[in-house]
Amino acid sequence: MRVEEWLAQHPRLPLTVEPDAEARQVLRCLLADGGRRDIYVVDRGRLVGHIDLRRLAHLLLAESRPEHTRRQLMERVVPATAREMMTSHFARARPHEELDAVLHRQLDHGVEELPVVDDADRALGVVHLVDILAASLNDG
Amino acid sequence: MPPLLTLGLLMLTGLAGGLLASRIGLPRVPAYILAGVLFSPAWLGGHLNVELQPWAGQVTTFALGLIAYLIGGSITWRQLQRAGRVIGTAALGEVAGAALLVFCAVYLAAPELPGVSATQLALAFAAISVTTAPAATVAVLHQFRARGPLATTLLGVVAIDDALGILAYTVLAAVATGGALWWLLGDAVVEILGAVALGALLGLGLTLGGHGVRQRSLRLSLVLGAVLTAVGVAQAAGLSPLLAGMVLGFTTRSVRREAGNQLFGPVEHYEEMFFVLFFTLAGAHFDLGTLGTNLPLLAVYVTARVAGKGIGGSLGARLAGAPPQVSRWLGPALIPQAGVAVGLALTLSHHPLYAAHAELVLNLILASTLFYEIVGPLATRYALQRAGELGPGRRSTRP
Repeated sequence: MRVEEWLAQHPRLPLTVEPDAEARQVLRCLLADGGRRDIYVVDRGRLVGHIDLRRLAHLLLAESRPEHTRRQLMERVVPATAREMMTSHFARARPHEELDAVLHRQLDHGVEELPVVDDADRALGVVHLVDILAASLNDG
Repeated sequence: MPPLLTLGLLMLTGLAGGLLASRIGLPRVPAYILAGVLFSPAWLGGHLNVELQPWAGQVTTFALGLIAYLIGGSITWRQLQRAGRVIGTAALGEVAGAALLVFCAVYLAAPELPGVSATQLALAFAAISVTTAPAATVAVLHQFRARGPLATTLLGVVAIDDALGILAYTVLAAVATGGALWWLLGDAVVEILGAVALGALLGLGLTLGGHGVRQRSLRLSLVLGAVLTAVGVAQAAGLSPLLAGMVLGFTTRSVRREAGNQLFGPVEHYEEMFFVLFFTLAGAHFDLGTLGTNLPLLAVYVTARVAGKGIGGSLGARLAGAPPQVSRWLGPALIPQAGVAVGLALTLSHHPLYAAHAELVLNLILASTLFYEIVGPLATRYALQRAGELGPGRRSTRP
């Protein structure tokens, strides 16, 4: 099955924030939508980065940790923006790809929500790991 | 003893000592130093024929270059702008205060040494005096759940003052090794600006390279390669390796704001390993005789640094309009000093000008580090307590 066919059957959109959003704002977005783990940064309509819950936890719970790296020290004093927190090397899929190949990428990168983007990096949807697992149960 | 075996034994002994100290609730730094002392000439070093001089300088320069890269990459322009005036001015104040007071005090108290003037010795100690110990500060804040304006200012100041320390070290070392005013205006400027240009150029290259390299393991090779190139070219061209490394980190992070996890994450956790190396290497130079005959100079250096941090930090904070509990108590909270200072002392001990007096510089910095390691966290805690920012304490989690 191709990714675009999967998306037609399981339509979902990625959770997104603007590049200048601060850490607490990003967390609020994640928690408001049922406690999702992946959020994507959108700059002028293009998907430019990925932030996961773990990265946010490291940043926002730094006070509870006895050791910091030098970067964490400054991030604790000056809260980071989404652009500063995100990773621009994130896994993504194209609509014409085979779902099996995309699933391998998704598991390899450890993301629950893999974004599907067009040639201009605009988000078309997400392949959610939970949907794929549910489908595998039904198939079995 | 072969250099690699010496290096391995120093690191393993240091690590074992550090782990043992942590287990019984003691700080790790004195344990690292004691492990190094075991390999000093008066102890096992003499019997095992331990030779540090031919190779230790290169290892130290690379390690300190990598730490300088991390220091440069820990701050962005945007963060500096958003950190606020108090943090920037207080950091400049405590750096200038420590450097100025240590310079004056050591200049007046310096013994007569062949080949090194009182000015050059004072500049060396002034350059080393500037850095602090972020790890010790964070541990105290965590242990006592400190929260408030002083705690925040303190974190900001220790986050940026190692960067100011490397700048001060570069300038003061350039001044110390300069012969005349024309040299200062010529070669010293070239040494500093050349290092800035080299670091910036390689930083742009690293940013481009980092974009194309996706595997984490390959990014480590990319970063280590860039730092080695920066340090190597700087050494060959007579530029400052530390400044080149720091500008490399700063440029990389400034050009690509999201580069933090990709181009700094893979090397961040090596810092403690290099500190083990610094402390054990410096400990292996331990000489009781040198320390004993220079106790007055040690007392002068320690007193001047503590006073300089206190007065400079307070003045800086007051000038920026900080609240009274910050300007009054920031100075005493900045006493801790550890790894970067010992690394700088090791680098200086391999400089041709100071090589003949390496034992003096290293033994005094080691002894002062031990003092700061014991008294520093207590002073930080006292300052936070007086500022009314201590919460209910946790169990001890000493660094």
